[in-house]
This record gives sequence, structure tokens and C-alpha cells, in this order.
Amino acid sequence: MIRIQKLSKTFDRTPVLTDLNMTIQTGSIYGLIGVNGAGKTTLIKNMSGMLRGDGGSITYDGESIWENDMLKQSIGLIPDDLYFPNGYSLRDMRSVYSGFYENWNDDRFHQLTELFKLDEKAKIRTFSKGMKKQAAFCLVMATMPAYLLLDEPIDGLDPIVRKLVWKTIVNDVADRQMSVLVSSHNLKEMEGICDYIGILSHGRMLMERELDSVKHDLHKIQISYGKNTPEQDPFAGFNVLRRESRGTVELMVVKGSIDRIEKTIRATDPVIFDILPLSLEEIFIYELGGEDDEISKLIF
Amino acid sequence: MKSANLYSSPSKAWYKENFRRFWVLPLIEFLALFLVNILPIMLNYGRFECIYDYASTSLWGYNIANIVLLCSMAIVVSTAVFSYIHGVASATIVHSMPITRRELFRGSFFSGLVMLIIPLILTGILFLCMSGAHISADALKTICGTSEYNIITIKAICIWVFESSVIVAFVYTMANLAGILAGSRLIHVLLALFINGLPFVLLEIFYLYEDNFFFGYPEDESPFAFSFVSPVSYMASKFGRPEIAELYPHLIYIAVIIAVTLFTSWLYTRIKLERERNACVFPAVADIICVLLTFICMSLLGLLIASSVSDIDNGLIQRIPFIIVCIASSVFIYMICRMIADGTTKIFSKVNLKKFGIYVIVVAVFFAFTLFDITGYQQRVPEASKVASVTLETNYAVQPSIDLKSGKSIDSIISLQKALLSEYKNQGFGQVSSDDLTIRYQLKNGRTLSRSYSLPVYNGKHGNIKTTEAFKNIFNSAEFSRANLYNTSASAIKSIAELKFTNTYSKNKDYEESEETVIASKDYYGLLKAMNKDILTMDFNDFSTIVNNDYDYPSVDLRLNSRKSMDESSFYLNKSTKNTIKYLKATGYWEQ
Repeated sequence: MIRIQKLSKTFDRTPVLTDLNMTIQTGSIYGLIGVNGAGKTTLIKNMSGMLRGDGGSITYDGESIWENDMLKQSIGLIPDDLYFPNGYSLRDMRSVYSGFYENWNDDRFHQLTELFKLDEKAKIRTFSKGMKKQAAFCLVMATMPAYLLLDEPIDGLDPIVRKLVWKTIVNDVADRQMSVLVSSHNLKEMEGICDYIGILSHGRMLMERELDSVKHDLHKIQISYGKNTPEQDPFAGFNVLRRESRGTVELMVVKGSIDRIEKTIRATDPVIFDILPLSLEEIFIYELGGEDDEISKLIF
Repeated sequence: MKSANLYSSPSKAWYKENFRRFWVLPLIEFLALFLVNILPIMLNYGRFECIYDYASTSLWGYNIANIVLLCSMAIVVSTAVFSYIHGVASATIVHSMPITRRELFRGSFFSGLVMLIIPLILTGILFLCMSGAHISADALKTICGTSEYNIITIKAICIWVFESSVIVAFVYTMANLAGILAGSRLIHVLLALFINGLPFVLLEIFYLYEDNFFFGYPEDESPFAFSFVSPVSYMASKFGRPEIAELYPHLIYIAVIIAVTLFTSWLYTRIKLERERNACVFPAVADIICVLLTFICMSLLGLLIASSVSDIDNGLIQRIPFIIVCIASSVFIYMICRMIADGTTKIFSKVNLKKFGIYVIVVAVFFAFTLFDITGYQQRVPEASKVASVTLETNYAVQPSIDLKSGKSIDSIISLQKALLSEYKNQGFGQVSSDDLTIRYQLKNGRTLSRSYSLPVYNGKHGNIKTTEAFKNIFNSAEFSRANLYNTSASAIKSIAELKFTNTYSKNKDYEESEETVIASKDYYGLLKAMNKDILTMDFNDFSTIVNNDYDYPSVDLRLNSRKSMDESSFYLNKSTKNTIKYLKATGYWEQ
């Protein structure tokens, strides 16, 4: 488990992270969402041990990351700004990484380069931006990290490769209980991937939610009574976050137990009663009231 | 399936990585060393006498091409091995790898050092292969100043490798410190040059201040410190074959290298990498560098412009243009330095104004001590009761250095210094003059008080009546006359390396020729006796005539068996040296 407590970081008196608290459970994928300048990259650099916070702590299963080379053996980082020494091929990079990481898995590396169809002998500087991302992904995943830190990982990747990347990550999470932190400035990218979502704004954690519990609590309902509209509002006793009428059909987002809602509504004999899937952005819009400018920036 | 066989250890992997990426640098260094040192010997292997001077300069460590090459390579290698710190992407990747900063520094430092020293060892081996080259017996007779036919010895090669390694390690260490302080590769290189050159520049500037504004500052003290400040200047300023004893300063340099490296390593663990795009990652260091650079540039500009707009003067007149230039240049240079340090042209803030204010205060204090001599350095004359002995070094005497101990002589010297101070406006001030006078008081409390003065021509025009009178008193004293004589004891004569008669004569107005005749050792005693007889009859006017006529006389030159230049002296012959001339003519050395 990665635990961040009261983490603060200032760049020349400008606060970048302020009293940040965050927990990433073992074997889960945590989506860190924030607009540009929210502090995502700084947080990841602190988590990778490159930067040191001015206050607070970052621990991996109770161990501090700062100058902890043994712990870093189990951390894989793919930064937004990639680095490969000039003139190096993937094969050269393989020998660098394999020398540093004791868990280096050569077979895995070859499997991944084959999966992404990357030429190990070609100079990396000839690769496109997306190919460089894939190369970094192959190298990092071959170190068999227990913790994976990804800063805007799918930026520049085509949809097919994105799927492959996510598939590999999800498999590792399932097979090896790998803990993953993924940062993005777009909520849509996190759809269907993350177990937890945290929204970072101006260096502070605006909100942090486990998606299963949010989804379990929040429901999008489509309902119509035709001409037989009941005299009393059937939703009177419920927490309705949003209500929209389209002719005789009403669309609403309701918070509460789905069993209770369903039982109550079915008793009023509606013509149409559907429970629709909620997208991630809808969850956050309704959860936060939808008025927050920060949230709208993340969604649109 | 886990394939751990490729794993070494992060430290080893980092060494390996550095060697793999930068192997070309030691190759370049080796090729350059080969071109500078080995190739000339190879090309002249059979006629080594043609290359003897150059080869000895190289092997004895003061070949400037070698020194420049080693310094450049040290800075280049340092910039290369620590380049990863200055890139955002590289710093992120490298510092997230399973290796501590201490190990990273150690790996970078030692891999760079090994890459710098291996070419030196290889060049040493090639020198060894060239050890068969030597001067032929016939040529040996014609090469003046050497009795050695073979200089490429194992001992000389080992010393060369050692001294060169110390130079390269010293510059490399300072460049590494610069690399840790700098926030970009360009600033790394500039700061490496700055840190390595800083001691020389500061010493030279302090020397210039003292020389220009301190009347009586002993000129030979600063160059002495200057040569010891770094192995680079030490090697560049030395001459002759290095002896084992001369290697002792290198032990101090090695201690400095270790201390600076430990400090740099500690500093590296404290760097805030987010500041890497700034000129300097430690803001306080950036402020110090701004102040130092401003001070250096201000001083150089001030001294250059002030000396060109006003004649040398001992009073405040010289200082006024200097101070005006200093104020103007300080503002201008500080602004430029601040812009570089802050990375912006928007430097006009209260904070920067406050920093400049601190600089002004520091410079004002410095000027109070130098330009305005608030400590009274120039006027300091010891009390006769506190002086144990005094040494006089003057061109007006035959002996280069004369030690005087009697109370009367000490009083005379103190009177001379007081006379010089009272007539100081007439003395050459801040000028290079061959007519220097140095007084060294050995005080009873164990301290030494030294003063040097450049003397004007003593023909009475400048009205140096008191100084001339004081000089005459010294020359008339029995102790001075005795101390000015040549030692004619058997042991002293045995220590004479060479005694020669140099006769200079003009063929026409523009062409002068000199002829040297080596005096036979059997004539040493007689000649010295004759010279002493003349010295006892000569007064101050006789000596000043020789100086005033620019030593344009035949001379007897004496060199003792010692490497110190102080052990060389010349005795000039004119109408007041009748006994010496008579002896030389009688023994057939003076035929014309």
C-alpha cells in the first residue's frame, strides 16, 4: 500500500503540493486526475524518489521512498517526458535496465517488444512519440514492478496500443497484485480502468473516491408513466441529484440503495423504468454538484 | 520466467553505463597526449638533441599544451558524466532508478576519474617505450646547462604520471563541484572555468590592488602564493627537473581533492532537482558568484581604465577615476550577472537591490583597507628595539641579499625606510622597475615585516635628498661593506659552480655583442680578492652610477651550486674597479 500523508512541496516559495493525503491500495489502479499545473507530475516525481517533499511522508508498505534503493527496485516509473540516451537502441536500454533491476525479466521484455512490434536493434531516436512510450513501457514492465507510476501514459498512443497497454497493466494487477498510479488530465481516459479516482486541484486533493462504492450509491434512472402520472412524486423520499424531463420521459440521477429505489418505483407501476449505466464524468459531475469549474475542465 | 543473470548491481551498472557512453573521451585524451608528447619524440628518436628541450618540458610537467589539454579534458569529462543532472527527463529517470544519490555521485566521480587517468598511464607506458631516445655524446657538449644524456627515465615518467594525475584530478574535482552547483550544462562549463580560475584571478587582483595602492607592498609575496594555489599554476610556473621533495605540495592538493569531493558528494544529496533549470541550484551560491564576478570585472576594468586615464600617482588623484569606474562598472556588471543568475531581464526588485547593497558595503570595506589604507600599512615602520635583524635586497649592492644585525645598521635601514616614506611621491609607484629595494625586518617576536620600493634614478633631479643621504650612511657602515664582500673561504670557493667574465662591447650604434670567458677555478680566489678590494673602496655614488647607466659595463658573473636564483650575482666593472680589471688583464681574461 502506498500512503502519502500531509505531503507539501514548494518550488521557490510557490506551493505546488499542500498537505496532500492519498492512499493507493495494494493490487489496485488509482487514477489521479487534474488539469495542467495541478501538481500531478510533481507528486509522481516525489513518489518516485526524485524529489523530496518539504513536509509530510510517502511510504510504500511502511517504508520511506527517499534514498531507498532497495524499495526503488520494486517501483517502475514512466514519466511524461521520456529519456533515452542519444544513439541508444532498445537492446542498449535493456542492458542498462537489466543491470539496475534485480527482478529484470528478459523473456517478458522480448514478449512485450514483440507484442508492440518494436525493433530492438533500431535506434530509439528514430521512434515516434508513441513508439517511445511503448519502448519505455516494455522496459519498465520487464523490471516486474510491484508499484507502477504512470504519468500521462497513453498520451500519443493509438487506440489499439492503448488497449494493449491497459490489458498488460490490468493482467499484472490481477496476477501479481501490482499497485498502479495513473495520472491524466482527462477523466474519460480513466473510464473502466481505475478502482480509485483522486482529483487534484492546485496541489490539494479535491476528492478521492472508490469507484465501486460511488457506482453502487449513484444511479441514473429513466422513467415514464405515460398519461398515468401519479399524484404524489414517487421520488419524494429520495436524494435526487439531477432531474430532467424529455416529454413524458424523465431522466434522473438518484443517490441511495438501488433495491429500495427499484421497489418504491415499481410499486407506482411506471410504463418505462430503466437503470442506465453512469459514465465516470457523470459520476463526478453529480457527486460534486456539476458546478465545479475544475471538474468541468477535466470532463470537457 | 525471471532472467536475473543480466543483473550486476546498480553501482556497477552505473560505472558500466558511464564507460559505455563516454569511452570516446579517454580515447581523445590519449590521442591528444600522444600527439603532444610521444609523436615529437618518435619523429626525432635518432636525433634526440633536436627535441631535448621540448621533451624535457613535457616530461618535467610544465608543457603548457599538456596543462591546457589536461584541464580541458577534466572539464569535458566532468560535464559529460554529470550531464544527466541537468536534463529534466534524464534526471527524472536516473534518480528514480534503484541507486542512491551517494552511489550515483561515487559512480560518476570515479568513472570520470578513471577515464581521465587511464590515458595518462598509457602515455606513461609509451614514454617508457621511448626511453631509448637520448642525446648523443657529441651533442651533449654543445647543449648548455645539461650534463644528462637521458631524461626519459622510469622515475621521471612515474613523476610525470603522478603530477599529471593530480592536475587532472584537481581540475576535475572543482569541475564536479561546479556541476553540482550549476543548473545547466552551459553553466556547468562556465562555472568549472570560474571555480578553477577563481583563486588565480582573486590572488592576481589582490596583488594588483596592493601593487597599485599599497606603497611598499613586497612584490614577491603574491606570486609565491599564486604558484601554490593550484597544481595547475604550480606546474605552469615551475622549471627544471622535478625532485621527490617537490611532490609534497601535491599531497596537499590530494587532500584538497578528497575534501572537495566529500563536500560535493554531500551537496549532491541536498540538491533540489526542481531547480535544475535555474542557472544555479543553490540561490545563495548564485548570489555569491554574482558578487565575485562583479568584483573581479569591476576591479579589472577599474584598474585598466584608471591607469590609462591618469599617470601613476601616489595620491588620491589616481583613486578618483578608479572609484568612478568601479561604481559605474559595478552597476552594469551586477545587472548582467543577475540577469544570467535569475534567467530573466526583470531583475529590478527590492530583493536584488538589497543584495547589491550588501555588495556595495563589502566593496566599500575592501576599499577602506586597500585604497585608503585605514590600517596604516604603508606608513608602518618597526621600532629599532623590536628588530632582531634586517635583510636588504638592492641592486645598488653587489650581493643580492645583505644581512645586517648591528643596532647601528638597523637604525640606518629604519632611517632609509622613513626617508623613502617621507619622499614617497618621488618613488616609482605601481611600476615595474629593476631598481627595486626590499627591506625585510626579522622582528624579535619571530614575525617578519617586509617592504619593497621601486626607486627612481638618483641623480638629484627628483630631490630625494633624504633617501640618498640614508643610502650613503648605509654604504659607509662597516657592517654593510663587510656583508657586501664575496666569501673567499675554501668552502665558499668550492661551492662556486661557474665564474665567468662577460665583456659587452658595441660594434655600432644598434648592435651590441657580448663575449663570455669562463674563469679557471685556480683564478677564483685571486679574482674574488681583487673584487673585494674594489668593493671596499666603492661608495654609494659608484654603485648608483652603474645602475643609472643600465649596467652597461663588462661584468664578472658568479653562480653558486644551487638552484636558487639568489645564488647568482654580477659584479660590474668600471673606473672604480681598478683592482679587478688589473687582475683580469694580468691573468689574460681581459685582452681588449
